Amino acid sequence: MQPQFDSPFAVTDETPPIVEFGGVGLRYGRGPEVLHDIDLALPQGSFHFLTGSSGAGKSSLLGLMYLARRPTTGSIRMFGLEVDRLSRRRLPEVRRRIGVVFQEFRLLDHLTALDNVALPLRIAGIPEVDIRRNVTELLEWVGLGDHLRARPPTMSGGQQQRVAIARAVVANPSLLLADEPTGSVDDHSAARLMRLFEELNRMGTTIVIATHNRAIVEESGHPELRLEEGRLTLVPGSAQS
Amino acid sequence: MVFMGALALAAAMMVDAAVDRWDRGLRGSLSVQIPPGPSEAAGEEAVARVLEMLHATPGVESARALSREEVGELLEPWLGDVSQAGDLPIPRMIDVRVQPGASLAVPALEARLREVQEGIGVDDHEAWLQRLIDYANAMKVVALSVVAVIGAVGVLTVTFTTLTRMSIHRSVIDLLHLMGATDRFVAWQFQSHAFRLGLGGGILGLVPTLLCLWALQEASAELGELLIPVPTLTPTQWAVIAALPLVTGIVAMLTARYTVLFRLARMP
Repeated sequence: MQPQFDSPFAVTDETPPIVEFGGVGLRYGRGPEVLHDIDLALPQGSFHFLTGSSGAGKSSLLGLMYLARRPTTGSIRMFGLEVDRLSRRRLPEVRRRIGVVFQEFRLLDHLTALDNVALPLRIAGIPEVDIRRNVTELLEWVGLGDHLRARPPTMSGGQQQRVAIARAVVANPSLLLADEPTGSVDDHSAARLMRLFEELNRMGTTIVIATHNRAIVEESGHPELRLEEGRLTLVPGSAQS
Repeated sequence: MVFMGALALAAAMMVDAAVDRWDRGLRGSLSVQIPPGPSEAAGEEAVARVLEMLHATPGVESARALSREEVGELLEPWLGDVSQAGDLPIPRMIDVRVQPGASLAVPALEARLREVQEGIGVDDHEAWLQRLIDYANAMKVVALSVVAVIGAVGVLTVTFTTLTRMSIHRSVIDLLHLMGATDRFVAWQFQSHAFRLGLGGGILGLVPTLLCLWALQEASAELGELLIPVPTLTPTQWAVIAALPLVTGIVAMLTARYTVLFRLARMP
């Protein structure tokens, strides 16, 4: 599979891409195609922004990456597996390697912050004693050590965002996808979140952040995957320019 | 539903126990009734001759004449204390046990015994008993059918309740799947909830059941067993009743589990 653009990151046999799209198209029902012929190869440990105007298809592209839906055309490989052809029974093992920060957080209001963050670990069958220790440490790391028992409706947008991020990273995912993670927070919180993502990337997590916040993109220097009218182009980051 | 099902189940078990008692008590036995004679001496002589004939009859295991007092006890529910009746003519009764596997020609036996005294009757319980047993078994089938219908309604209720809850919590289920939850993990959330509800509802239904059965037992005991059998349950049967809440919880749990798994398997 040959991507239609040259990634600034050399993809060699020793570092297979963690995500590969080959001619991927997506259509909802009988509507028009929202994604056309997407080719993509994300190296392990890379950091990309997914940009584009509202309605360009960013959330749809991310949805394909976290296996919320299957493409209408083309193929997707993740972690070396052709996930678009994977049986339903095998999808959970792939999804557990992906952490997702949803645009609307999607926290469970009836659970505490601790239980929300613990959810991926419980799904993975981690012993409860380890869960409590790890989750407590993580929430303290994101600055919510005093809010372990708080429920989402009682928390601010920024706090909920941090809970959502903690939940996305608690299981140490290989791939972290974030949909507009700074959309509902102030500039200070946004900067703090970006430092968090940079730290995770330094620890080896592959990161894709969908955003329309130009300031963050330009300040970080990471490459962009620019989506326009359903088509994807790569814009090298200032760090690679 | 547990209350109704438990009562129906208890009724079935009581009928079953009663049938078993009747069967063991009456099958293989005959009653010979000797009308009062012109005098007590004549009556005793007739009893002795009948006993002699019975002992000589092939297939008869034992024959015993009931004493006047024993007959009086049998007649007491209808005649009261016969010991106060003075010269009231009371028939003599002989309890005959038939050898296992043997069959007696009751009409022929009765005819031979009537050579001793006119009016002697031989009561074969077999025909009456079989009709009673058939009727009781029919009642038992009805009771068990009620239990089965209640069980089926319970299963359907849990099924539709589970499907409704799945619909209400569709977004949560989708989220769990996106986090990598298997269908079994999702099913566990529903089945554990169903188990708790089934167990709790079963306990709530069991309490009035036990009270009703206890009250029934107390009320019927005063009537005496001669008129109607006192409904009793063996310790094993009480244990079966007591286990109903747990059974209800398990059935609810399994129903919810497989409802969820079946529904999720049909999702893309």
